[in-house]
Amino acid sequence: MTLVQALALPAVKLRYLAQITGSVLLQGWVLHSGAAYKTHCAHTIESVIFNASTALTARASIAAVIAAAGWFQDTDGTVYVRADTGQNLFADTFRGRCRFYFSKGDAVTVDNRYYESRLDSVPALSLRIEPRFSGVSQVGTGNCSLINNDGFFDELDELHWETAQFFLGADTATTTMAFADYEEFGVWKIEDTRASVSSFEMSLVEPKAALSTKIPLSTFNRTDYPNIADVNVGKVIPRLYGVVYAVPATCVDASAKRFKIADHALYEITEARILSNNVWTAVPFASKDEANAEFTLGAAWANNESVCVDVIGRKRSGDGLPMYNASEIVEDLLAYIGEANLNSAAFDAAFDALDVGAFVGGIRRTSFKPSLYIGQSVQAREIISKINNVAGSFLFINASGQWHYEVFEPKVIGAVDKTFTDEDIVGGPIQTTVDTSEMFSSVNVKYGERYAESWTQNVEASLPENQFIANAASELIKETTVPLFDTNDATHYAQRILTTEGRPLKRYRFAVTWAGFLLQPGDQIKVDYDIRGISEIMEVLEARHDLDQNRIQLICGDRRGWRDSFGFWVSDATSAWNPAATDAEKRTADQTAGYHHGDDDLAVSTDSKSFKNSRHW
Amino acid sequence: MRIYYPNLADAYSAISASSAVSTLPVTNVTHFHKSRVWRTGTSVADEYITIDLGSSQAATAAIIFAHTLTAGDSAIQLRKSTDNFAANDVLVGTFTWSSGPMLLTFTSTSSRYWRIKFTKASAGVSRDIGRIFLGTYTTFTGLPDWDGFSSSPIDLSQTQVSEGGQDYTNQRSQYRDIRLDASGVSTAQAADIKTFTETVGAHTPFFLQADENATDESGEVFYVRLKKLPARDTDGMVETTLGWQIKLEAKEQL
Repeated sequence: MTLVQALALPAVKLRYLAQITGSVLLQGWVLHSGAAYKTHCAHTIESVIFNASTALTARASIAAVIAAAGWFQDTDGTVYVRADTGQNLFADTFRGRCRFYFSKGDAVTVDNRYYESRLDSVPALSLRIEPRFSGVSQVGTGNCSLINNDGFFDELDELHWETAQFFLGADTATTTMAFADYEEFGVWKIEDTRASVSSFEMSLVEPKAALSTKIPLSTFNRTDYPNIADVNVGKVIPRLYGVVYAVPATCVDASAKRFKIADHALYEITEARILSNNVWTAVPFASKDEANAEFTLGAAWANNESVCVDVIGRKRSGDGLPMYNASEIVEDLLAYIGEANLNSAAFDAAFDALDVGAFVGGIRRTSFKPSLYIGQSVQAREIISKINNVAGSFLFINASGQWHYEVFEPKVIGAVDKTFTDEDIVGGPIQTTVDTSEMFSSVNVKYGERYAESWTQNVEASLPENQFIANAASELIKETTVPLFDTNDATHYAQRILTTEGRPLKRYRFAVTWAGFLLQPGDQIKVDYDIRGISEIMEVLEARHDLDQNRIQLICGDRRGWRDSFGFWVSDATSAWNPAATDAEKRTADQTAGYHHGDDDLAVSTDSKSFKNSRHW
Repeated sequence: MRIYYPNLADAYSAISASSAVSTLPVTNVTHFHKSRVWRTGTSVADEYITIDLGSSQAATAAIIFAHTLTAGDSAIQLRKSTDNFAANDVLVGTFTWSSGPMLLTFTSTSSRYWRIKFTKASAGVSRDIGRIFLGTYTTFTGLPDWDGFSSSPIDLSQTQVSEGGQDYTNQRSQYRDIRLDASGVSTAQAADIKTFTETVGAHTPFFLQADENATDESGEVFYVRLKKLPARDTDGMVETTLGWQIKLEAKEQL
């Protein structure tokens, strides 16, 4: 029986397992024999880690460690290590990584591993995405309490706690699930711990907190640029994606008239301008070096004028073409901050969602191409939030601890991730909240920002009905500057946010049984809640596992304000809109197919219930 | 009523096994939780646990508890040795296989090295044992009262009800609360019970039979921990001596 099948049962033995990882510094090395050293460790370790993450080879005996680089722990706790080439036991950091196996509820032995029933309370493990594309990246949190009456954790106070990884399995009266069929449902970074006489509390945070890293990482220094002006030493070296206009260039050698633009190779340095008599004037390059993001100017630059350039930024690693697709840019930024554990399938799907597919001079047509100039030290989350804003995407850490990037795309009823009815909803009725505080009816989208020249292009769009829904006496205007460079993208963006962000923000809050345990943010679910007359496909914005109550609390959105009004390409055989159908049948038809509209935005001109029921996303 | 304590195996000086899965070592049989098992390897048919008590000590009983030995397994034995089974290897007794607890009682005998040994139906299978008892027992003749045995099952399952009224149940383990009421307890028995409860307290599990001669539930070998230390109340005179009333309340250990 698969986990999915087991979770569909109304009576099941749920297995909540946690693997808690900590590490202890291995120090105080004394020579054992040959190149092998030893030190004492009070804990059973599963691996020895060199510096950040390089695992040493585990050996089966002390003799094996003496013979070759690796590690071994004897039964008395002594750890023997022979460092590998380039490693120094005294100058580098070596950590012994320990892992502890716990369960909530019944103790269980799976995969030849005993999971001690020490998890006392796990009230909330929350994974989230933003209800608005423009929202700041939210970081999920959680907490759990472990039994410590016997002082188990008091003995571990020298450990540095690292991660808590949760697994879900389910046995039945007649079947026992193999560990291979268990599913991970969360990897958390342990933020802090608190030990008391009876319990050991852990505060957990999504590894997404890594987005707090400030970028760019490199700065101008005199070692690399001996002739740089004092005023520029210590400033960050920018990163650039897409077409970026009027990027300030930093002079790194005034006598050579050499300037640097970015800390990576560029696809193209298009034009240089200098500020002369308060007017930006194009000047010729003396030379251009896209590989090093540098150029030199000729006689047109006297020695002190400000200089800016138009560029096409970072290149794709394979074909060397411009990196325009938001999925690739997010992946590149994550790699830049050292995050490489990606859900590749999700990133590929996001790439495809933004990729129109045709070629222009070898460059793929792409929707919502970001234009990013990262010229000030800023948290990576802010940059990725900007990308999510324009690309209609979201980023989170999935249940396996991988980065999951997804571009929102509506799903038809047959493709939703899960369907719930009254029979599945527990803990009280669905609560609905509507937030009208940030509605707007007209938007002025500024794009193609000229950073040094301090001006932007702009497009405007309006949707008057938003004003009247908000009962406002005058237009509700939103002005926003977005990291886009393409007018078509900006126009598309302006029209879209009037429907996704300018409308009331509607959210549904409810809990379902373990049948929903494998849901993650971004999933779309069908909810038929007859008690309140709700029948709608919703987007999961937050999935909060409550292992104490054996349920998952969901906060869902109305699919970015569009609810079930999306249109879908369908085959010719699909039935036309039937005005005589019942309301329930029409709701299903809304969630299933697409219909041609007339100028009146009706699929059938005599049926008002067919109004705007097949909009193009 | 028969109480098996103290468990000499738990206070071992050294313990080893013929084989073990590295993550489920033989020391697990001395852990209080019966669910934490020793798991044999799958390369040899003859398996054993050797317990070194550090010095020669007397025992009268052994229990193999929470195990997966099958009817196809054979030669399930308790053996003892004076030289850690180098040359001296004496059979103390043979267990009768049961899917439940396997109990062996015998005339008091002493040794430093003890071994529980069995032959698996085949080398390629593994067997689990959750708990081993090796020690002495005390029989309390006439206890508990005829109507003094109570077994109350507790189900830890959690049920929630959906908005539609349907039940969802997370099935959990069951255990039993065992209660033994004894009246007319002699002063000598009361003293033995006092010694026993002071030893195990409300913290250390032990093995118990309400009626060692019964074949119903009251004759079962229970693995329990006292829920609280029992009061010792005088209970009038039993013939010419003072009688005592003692109620033991214990929780089955999982």
